[in-house]
Amino acid sequence: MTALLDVKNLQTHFFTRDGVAKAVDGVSFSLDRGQILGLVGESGSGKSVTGFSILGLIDPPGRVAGGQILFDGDDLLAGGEAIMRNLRGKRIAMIFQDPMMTLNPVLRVDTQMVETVRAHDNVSKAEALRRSREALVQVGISSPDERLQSYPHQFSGGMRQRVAIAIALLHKPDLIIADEPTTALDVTIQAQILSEVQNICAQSGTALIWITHDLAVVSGLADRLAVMYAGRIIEEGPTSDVISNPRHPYTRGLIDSVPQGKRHGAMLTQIKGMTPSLLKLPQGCKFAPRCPRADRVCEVEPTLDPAGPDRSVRCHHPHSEANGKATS
Amino acid sequence: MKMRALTLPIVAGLAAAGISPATAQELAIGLKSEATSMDPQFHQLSTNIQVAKNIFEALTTQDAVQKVTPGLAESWEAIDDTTWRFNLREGVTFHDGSEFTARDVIYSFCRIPLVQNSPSPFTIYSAGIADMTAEDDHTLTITTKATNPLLPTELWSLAIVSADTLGAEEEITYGPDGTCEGMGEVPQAPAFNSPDVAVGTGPYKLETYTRGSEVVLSRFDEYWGGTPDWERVVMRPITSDGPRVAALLAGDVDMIESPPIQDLPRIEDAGLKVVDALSNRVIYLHMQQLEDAPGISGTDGENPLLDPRVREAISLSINRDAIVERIMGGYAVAAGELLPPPMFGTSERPVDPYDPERAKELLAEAGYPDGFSITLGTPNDRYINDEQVAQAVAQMLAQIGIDTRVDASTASQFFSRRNDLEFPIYMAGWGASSGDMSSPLKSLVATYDPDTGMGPTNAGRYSNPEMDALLLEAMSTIDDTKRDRMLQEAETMVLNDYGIIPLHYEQTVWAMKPNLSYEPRVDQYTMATKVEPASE
Amino acid sequence: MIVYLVRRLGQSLLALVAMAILVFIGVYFIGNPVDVLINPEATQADIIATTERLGLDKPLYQQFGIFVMNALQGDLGTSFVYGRPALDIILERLPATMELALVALLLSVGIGIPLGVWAGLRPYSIAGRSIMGGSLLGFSLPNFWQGMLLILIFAVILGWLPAGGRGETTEFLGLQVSFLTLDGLSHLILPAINLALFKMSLIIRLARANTREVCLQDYVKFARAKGLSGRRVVLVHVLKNIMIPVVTIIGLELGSMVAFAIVTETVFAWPGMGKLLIDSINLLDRPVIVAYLMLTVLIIVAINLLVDVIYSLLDPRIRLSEMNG
Repeated sequence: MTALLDVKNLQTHFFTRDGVAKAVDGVSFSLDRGQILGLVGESGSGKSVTGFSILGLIDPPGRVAGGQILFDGDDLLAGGEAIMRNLRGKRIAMIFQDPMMTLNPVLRVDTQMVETVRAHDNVSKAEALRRSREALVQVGISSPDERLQSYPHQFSGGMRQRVAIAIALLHKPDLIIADEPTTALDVTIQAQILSEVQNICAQSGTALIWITHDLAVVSGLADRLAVMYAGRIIEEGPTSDVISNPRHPYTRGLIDSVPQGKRHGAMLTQIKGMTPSLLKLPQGCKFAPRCPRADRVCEVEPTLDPAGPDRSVRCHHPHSEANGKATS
Repeated sequence: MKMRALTLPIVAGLAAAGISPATAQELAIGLKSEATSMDPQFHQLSTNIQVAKNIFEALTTQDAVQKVTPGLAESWEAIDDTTWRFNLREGVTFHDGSEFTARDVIYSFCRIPLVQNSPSPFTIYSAGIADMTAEDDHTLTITTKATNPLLPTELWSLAIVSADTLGAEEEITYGPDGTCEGMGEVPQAPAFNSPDVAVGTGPYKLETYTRGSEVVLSRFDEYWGGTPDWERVVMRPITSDGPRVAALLAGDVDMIESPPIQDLPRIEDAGLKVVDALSNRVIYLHMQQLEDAPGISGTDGENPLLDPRVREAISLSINRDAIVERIMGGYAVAAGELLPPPMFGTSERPVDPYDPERAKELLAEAGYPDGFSITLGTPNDRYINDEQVAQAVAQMLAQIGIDTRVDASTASQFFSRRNDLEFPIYMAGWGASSGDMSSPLKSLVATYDPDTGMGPTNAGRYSNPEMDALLLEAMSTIDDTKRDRMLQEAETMVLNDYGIIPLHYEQTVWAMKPNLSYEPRVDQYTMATKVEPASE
Repeated sequence: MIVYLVRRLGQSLLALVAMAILVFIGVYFIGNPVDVLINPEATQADIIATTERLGLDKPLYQQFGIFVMNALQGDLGTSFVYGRPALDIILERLPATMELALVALLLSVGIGIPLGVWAGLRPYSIAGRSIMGGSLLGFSLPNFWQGMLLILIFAVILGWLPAGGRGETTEFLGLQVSFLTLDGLSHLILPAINLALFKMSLIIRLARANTREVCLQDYVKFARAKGLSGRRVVLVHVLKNIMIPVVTIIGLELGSMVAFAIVTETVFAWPGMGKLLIDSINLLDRPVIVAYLMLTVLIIVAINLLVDVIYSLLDPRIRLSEMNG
């Protein structure tokens, strides 16, 4: 069975006056139908750009410079804007981070939902309204009629995000790309949304790419994890495996940084240093300057190699299977 | 607001090719200012007057050189010092068909003091009439309160309206200063905006009056003076100089008044005709004759202008020809007196020579070898190139040691300040509406006396009692020859004393399509009735 | 909403009163109208009589008091020059100015917004750059010079359009308007363009700046992510958001256009209020000046109120916060 989404060596570069920033530099992964992928990384790692690249929403001075994005067998990069527009919102939908800014503040909610329906299906306004109402119910919004008549700023953050999710679901897409959808929300709401999304995806068989910087959030949700650093995937594998057995020092560091109740009172672990500027990337392994395990070998860029069945890691000195256990 | 002249040259052929000749039927004139009312008895404004003269007539007419000729009165004579008999023309009809009789004249004169809210009433001419009786339908006797040799001249300003159209009773009896009987309900100025009320005997009828926009006249076929030339006359106010010239060049109008001098070469290049004539307006300098004149320094508190030698020096220091050539572009004539000869009362006195050496000598004689400082007041938007002329005069005065500062202000400011005696010396203009010498003498140099109404515009407060006496006598002398001589004598007295310094006479300019002709007028009026298709 | 309107009306009234006082005092201190109006050959007695008749011999506070009493009854004074009520004279010419201003507004909005949005969407294209360059000219060239140039090119050299004046008028809703006839339109075009050019440039620059800003917003990206057509994204999502600041500016500019179309009216001999104001100032026709300025304040205040109402209709965030407190 072909994968639903097969990204091969994607490269998205930004051509600025100060130089070329390679935001995404050779990213490859694949996703099956109904699968949930967690794309993890700090800001600047290229995770959001990857998401936008798939939908073809990279604006100048950025450009997809190479690679292939195979969606259900078709290369999205080879098709034109008309084909992309057809797919957007219909077969591939996107959810953004800050729902206040993603919903147009001067248009009513029903307007913004109805237009999405009618962009791809030639139905009457009444029918579009009906479908919108249904979608709102689906995401757990009570009194949907009232909500439809309202404006975005009349909702709370969590409610708005539910609306955004409802919009994404209107055409029952094959793939949803969610770019940090809960980052701006309260923790309790976060949990609610997470569980609802999980349900929806399970029920409808929608594939999901959940982009986040927060490992904790995505660890319960995703089937697989891919960790990105400086525009590359540096570790990849089934979620439970990656969480319990991180091979890459960076992944290790990320997991260790999460505060845990059991170690109350002890100093928090940090990864020393900062993510490098994309315009001034070091030669060789991009993580080397911050890595406690780096040595001369790391002056050569490591490749993404298999590190077990269904695992890969990009490191010269990955943690081994045995001592890779995360401290607990 | 002065608009700049057009900045791109017009190629003669290009523009000329685009100009179509005026049709024999319609004449469009671009006016310099707007008429404020169609009531010919409301406001003494030159635009009102020149528009009204096409619709209404008076007992007498002034021709192009302001000579008095018969109008609605065929002839007249002075029976004695205060009584005149007028023989009215027969067979004249108003626009609505009613016949013109003496009753209409009486009604018209009676209405003048009854016109309300006038900013500049015609009563200054009608107030002098004591009584008026009609011997029959076409004979009228007028009695004046005092001897007024200028009565026929002044009658030109008083338009004749139709008694019947304006709702008078059958019998009208004249009473001085608004005490007439039988007037009925007198319509006021706003009523005249309707062609039904603005009924006169003139060659054109009022067709429409769109306030702010245009006046349209149509031909009165039964005009007693013969069929007028134009079927329709449109008079449009275009107050800005540049757009007015543009309208002529574009062919929107057939004729314009007062094109700026700087634009004349271009207008001629475009194949249009320029017509000009000497006007009755003299530009002059007036000097304060009071002990404590303001604005003078360097004289230990004295007023140097009290000394006739200083005044003569000022006149000699001015190069009038240079002003005429360079500032007026040749469209002016250096002035030696207060009216251009051969108008009534002029003596053909030669223009003062340009002699700065002699001027300096005179100054030294008078005790000011090093000159002094003075302020020259002038308007900057009233007379042709007024501020530039004043600047030139200032420079010329500086040449003989009089350090002059020009104080130019907009007309409304200037007149107020002048009348408040703010200027030690000022430049202004005077147009004699009566076309004779008594006008400037009476207003400008007669001793200022509010009780008798003499010297109202004498803001220099010049006073020459001998001249006053002579002037008064002339003003009550009916005999033309005697009066002429007396006026000449009076004027010579003033000018010999340098009581006022004439600079130049303005010339009035009109521009029009080449197939038109217009006899230019001294009184600067643009009369549609006098615009004729040019002979082939 | 009612409370809001009442509050605004109260503020407007205050502005009107303050304006009346300022204008009255200012105008009454410049020059003496009688000196300007009266025939130079008039005697001193005539001058005194006219001064009395015009009420100019009374002290300032008395003149103001009389003015206020009359104003409350709707009489804003009688013109010195025309001898008719000042308000009548101004209202007579109001339709001509309104007509000109509204056509100019239509032109500047109808051309300005599309051009500005286009320049905002494609700022580095040739079209985008030339639009911005052109708008700079529209700003910086003096109004009367542009007017003269228009006359020169279209009336004198090409002869396509008349050099000035207003065309044929027909009656429409009780007013005389000239845009319903071909002749009227041909007279309207050049002065309307002249009046519109400055505003158009303003609107172009404003629309462009706002479009650029809005295009970078997340909701535009989201709209595209939903698969909406580019046209819909621009016409609905972008446009509605840039209209708010644009409408505000348009409203302010309309007020000034109506009140001060003076230069255009003078250059094109358009018989409107602006020309009347200049003439009245030159002739020191004080009642007309005062009445005109007060009417202007009224118009501008009314327009501002209208703009605020439209603003609240366009931006739901404003509307609701007003309603809630």
